Amino acid sequence: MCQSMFKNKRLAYKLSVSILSVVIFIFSLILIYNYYISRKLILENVQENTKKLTSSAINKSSGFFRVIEKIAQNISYLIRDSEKSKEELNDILSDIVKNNTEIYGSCLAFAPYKYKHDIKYFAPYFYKKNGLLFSENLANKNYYYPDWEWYSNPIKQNKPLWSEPYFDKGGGNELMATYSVPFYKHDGKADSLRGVITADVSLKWLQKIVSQIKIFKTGFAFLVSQKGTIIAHPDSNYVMHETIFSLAEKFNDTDLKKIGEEMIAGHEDFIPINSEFHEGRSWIYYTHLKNNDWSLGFVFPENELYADLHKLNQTLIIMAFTGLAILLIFIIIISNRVTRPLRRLALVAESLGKGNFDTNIPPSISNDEVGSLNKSFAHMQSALKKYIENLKLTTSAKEKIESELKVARDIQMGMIPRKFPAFPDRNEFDIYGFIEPAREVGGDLYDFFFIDDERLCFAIGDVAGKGTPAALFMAITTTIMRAETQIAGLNVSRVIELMNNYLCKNNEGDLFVTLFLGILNTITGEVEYINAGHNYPFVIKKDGAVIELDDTHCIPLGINLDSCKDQNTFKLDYGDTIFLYTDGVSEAFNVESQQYSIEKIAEMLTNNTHNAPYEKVKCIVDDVRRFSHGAEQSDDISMLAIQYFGKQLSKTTGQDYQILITNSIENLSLISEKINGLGGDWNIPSATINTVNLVVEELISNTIYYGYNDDLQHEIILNFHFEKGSLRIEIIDDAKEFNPVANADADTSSEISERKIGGLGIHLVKNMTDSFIYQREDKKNVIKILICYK
Amino acid sequence: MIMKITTEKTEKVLVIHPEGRLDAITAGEFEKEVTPLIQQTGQNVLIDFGKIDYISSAGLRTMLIVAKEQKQKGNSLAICCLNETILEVFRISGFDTIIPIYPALEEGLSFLKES
Repeated sequence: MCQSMFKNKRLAYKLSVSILSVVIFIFSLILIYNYYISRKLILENVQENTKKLTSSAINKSSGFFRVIEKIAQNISYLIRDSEKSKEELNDILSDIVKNNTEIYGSCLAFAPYKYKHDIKYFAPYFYKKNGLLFSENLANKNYYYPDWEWYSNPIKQNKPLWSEPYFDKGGGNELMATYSVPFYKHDGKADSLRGVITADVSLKWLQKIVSQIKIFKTGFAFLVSQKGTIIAHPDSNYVMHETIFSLAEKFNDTDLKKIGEEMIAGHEDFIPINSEFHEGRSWIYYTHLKNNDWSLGFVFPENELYADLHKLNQTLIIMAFTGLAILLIFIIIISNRVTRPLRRLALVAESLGKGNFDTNIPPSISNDEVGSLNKSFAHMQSALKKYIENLKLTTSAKEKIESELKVARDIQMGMIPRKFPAFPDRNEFDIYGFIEPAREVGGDLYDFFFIDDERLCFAIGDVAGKGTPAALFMAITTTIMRAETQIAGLNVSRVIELMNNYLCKNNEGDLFVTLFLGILNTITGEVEYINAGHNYPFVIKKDGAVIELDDTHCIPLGINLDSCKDQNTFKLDYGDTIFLYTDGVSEAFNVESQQYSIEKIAEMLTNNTHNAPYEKVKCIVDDVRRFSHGAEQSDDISMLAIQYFGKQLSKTTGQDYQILITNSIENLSLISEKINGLGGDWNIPSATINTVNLVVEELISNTIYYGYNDDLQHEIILNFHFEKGSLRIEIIDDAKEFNPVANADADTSSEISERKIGGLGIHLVKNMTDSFIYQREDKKNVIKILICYK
Repeated sequence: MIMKITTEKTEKVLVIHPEGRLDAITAGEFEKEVTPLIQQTGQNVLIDFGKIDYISSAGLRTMLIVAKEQKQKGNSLAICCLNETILEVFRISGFDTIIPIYPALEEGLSFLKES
């Protein structure tokens, strides 16, 4: 989350944060290091200075005690060996007390019987009180001095001793301490104790010295006795009332107790302490006085100790922050300056992305990385612009080609009869065709059309290759096939020859086409065909047999001028089907690269024997699609199926027959054939049929040659009615009115050179028919003829 | 529907053997084929109708043209071997009066050799 937020920040922000973080880290390290080193140095300094600071106090204290000790020892030497009189002793004592301001009292306490052998106890004592000198003998019944510590302790330890401090309640009510020195008589070999001399000293001066010591603001000095009793302390309530141990107990402070133990043991140290002894954390330096094993302590409050250091640190931190602020401003300015061209480029890139290739790229002044990026960007823009323009051109060209291909497909599909039923008024056969190019346009073709009233020309073909070249070649093939069929009429091999000639001579692309061309006589069921290199068609007999029509196979068209003349014939019986296909069906691939195969087609046809052409083609189309599901269609697919039923005289009832023709002279042969057929059907003698042929020909040719003023197609209807021994013929046309019956007789008798040919036809009709009637009905010429025969 | 025409030359007579029908469609072709033969030859001509099974007025017209051509050249023309229907057509049209008709080839030949 944080990382992603950081990611979204501006470069200037990232730079500032990163650099400042590092700088702050380094600053902090330096500051911390500086702080600790300074602290250490300060402590060392303080330790050093403490000794100097305290040494004068110690020296003063020691000096004070040493003076007293000297005086007392000197007196002991003075009276040690000589026998002094009472007066002499009194003088000595009074001199000491009088002349030494620090000494408040002095006593000479003799051991029993050591002053004089008859006096057991003797202890003269001189002391000052309110400026006056008093004397007293301490040897009395109320005060048995040998039991007091100031007498007994030095004797026991056999050395001069300072007493614990005490309040002299009788005297100046001041804090006092007594120094006791034992003295001996030298008896030849050994010393024998004679008594103890004491000096009572006021500690007021010492207290003053100690309590006047000030360390920093709240720091102080204190003095403890050998037993830990507080002798001097800024808080006078502690003095003589508390020991360092009672204080430690009071504050529940083991550290203070340890310090106390160290102090009375006469050690010296400088250690930190966190105690109520002084508010806040502090350091204590303690050292002992050699005279009497008392100990002096100095308290250093830590915050005051480091006050300067803290002050210095504060200043450093302020300086650091000021420096960081300046650094931050500089980073922001610099990074803004560095990223400004980048941001401008980003805006341009956004505009580019929207397709605006003319966006002005601001020129770069610098030659740094950003500058070179700027240049690359400008280069990219122009390259992109060029590329997009090219792309637009190629795309529009491609679109144009595609739309043209679509039109081409429509045109190509328009060339192939795809409307079914193709001949709703013909029931001699049923036909269905299917074509599916692999691409927009393809090289497959099929076609069927009537050459005349009876003959259906049908073909299926496959141009080598696919796509546009194949499609164009296919278009040529289809067109010339129709054209040549019109020219060569019913002669299949002639049609093929003409087509081949054309395709060979006009074949820039070196393409060729396999073609199966057949002409079906819808009356007889006979098929004349040529197979120019195409897949063998199948004939499905009515009884279910599937036969491959594999008797002839020539080279495809467009290869060699020597065309295939191997014309063949087979006969379709009632209910038989011929099935034609291109190799796109048999060689359809599936995803496993397997072929659909001819065997599969044969199998499908065997399983669908009784189906109509549409169902036959449809079930194979579906099966091929199922088979090649998922695989790309590799070749054009075409199929054509024709089922033959034979002649069924739909418009005849009983012995009637009708022929419809257009006004083309070529149709005469068609009529002739039909009439010949009728002769067979109705069992009319051939001589009579010849007459019928002649009559019909004369009348129809007359109408075709002379009856029409325009070049349009006109329909001529011939109705035949057969009765045994006679035939009635009715000829109806919409030509201009012409009554042949009323026509003048032809010339049949003049010499050859004068003989006229006109009117001879009608003359023949008149003379060869039994009845010849003309009527004009509903703008039509109607001729009725009767021909009788035996 | 191509008309097949063969010719046979003897000492004095050119025999023409057409095959098929002589109707409105084929008559033009017949005329085109035969006219040059007539024009080239200086002989008498016999047309054998043995393999012609049908003739209409269009066929008669070409026969008239051939006959006129021969007459102009001073040569003779005869036909032979007509079937029943064709013979009737010739009679009805009066062509039997301008073109000698013989039932057999030999008769036609002998007539033309003599004339």
